[in-house]
Amino acid sequence: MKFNLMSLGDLVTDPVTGERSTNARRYKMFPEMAVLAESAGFNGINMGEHHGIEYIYSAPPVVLAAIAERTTTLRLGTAVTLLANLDGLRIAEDYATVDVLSDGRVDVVHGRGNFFASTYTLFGQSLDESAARFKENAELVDKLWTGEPCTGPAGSGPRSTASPCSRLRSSPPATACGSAAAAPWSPWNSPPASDGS
Amino acid sequence: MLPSAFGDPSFFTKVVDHYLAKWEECGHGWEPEIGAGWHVWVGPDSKSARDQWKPRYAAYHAWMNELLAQINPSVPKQNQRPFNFDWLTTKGPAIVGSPDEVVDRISRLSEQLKVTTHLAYMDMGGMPEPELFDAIELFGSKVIPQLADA
Repeated sequence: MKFNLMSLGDLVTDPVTGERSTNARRYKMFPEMAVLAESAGFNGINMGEHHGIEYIYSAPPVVLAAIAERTTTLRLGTAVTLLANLDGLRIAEDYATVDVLSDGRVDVVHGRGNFFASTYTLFGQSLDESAARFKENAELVDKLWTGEPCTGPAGSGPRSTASPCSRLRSSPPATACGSAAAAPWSPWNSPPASDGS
Repeated sequence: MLPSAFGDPSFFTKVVDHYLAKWEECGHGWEPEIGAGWHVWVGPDSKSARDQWKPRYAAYHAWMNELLAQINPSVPKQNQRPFNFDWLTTKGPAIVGSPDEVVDRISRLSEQLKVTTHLAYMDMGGMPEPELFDAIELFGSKVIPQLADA
């Protein structure tokens, strides 16, 4: 049985002391917490991603890259990567980069994030497109990571497996996050971690 | 990976069964993984863990439900209920107590949902960093070793 430390980055005033942290401190605290988690025996860390609300973490691959440089065994994960909202090519490149830098320690957890409907408004998308967007990007990311030729959304050009994806022998492990709202639930999965070499 | 979000974990037994059945159908050459996220706090003993965490967890609960009401036009039922610490920590997605209590609850949830990786959300509700870091160390020294081989 494995244990990961997870944080979604809620910024809440402590009801006991009345103290309130800051966005900047919450960001700087996360790698410190990750280093502690590794020394305490945790298998990995999972960082949330939200946009435009007070769950403040919005750029997990940036923070996970910082953690990669300060740790040696800790798995570097998400909870969750907003696969329906973000650009699939961008996701594939960002996490492949961290995977290479960390010698294959990345675990991407894909989610639709439709619990937070406002994300779709912020990205100029409709919640009704959520399942279709999720499926399309899951297939795209999988192909980019494993080096299969593929094309992007209708109207865009062919998408190649540009470096760093081409440096991976197999893909970073990707898992789907299921929730009541995310049904029907699809077990998107790709092979276990490459060593990134 | 299964979410927590104040709901009843037993809801996910059918999701897990569906996932494992699909996994069999796909015929992968490696073992399936089930991850589950929990709201977690551990202290030296049952009472001090609860005293320390309850106000922070209540603050997080109130904050999240208020946030959801603003940004989600159809808020799920589990996010409209009043804060019920007893239910959340015995039947819900919260795990709190002494190291042995936490081990016991995790063991039961593991069995129920066939969990292979537990994800512990600990830094919530404005918990000060020194208290948080002590609890992470305690979890690592007294909880993980009891379950690592399970």
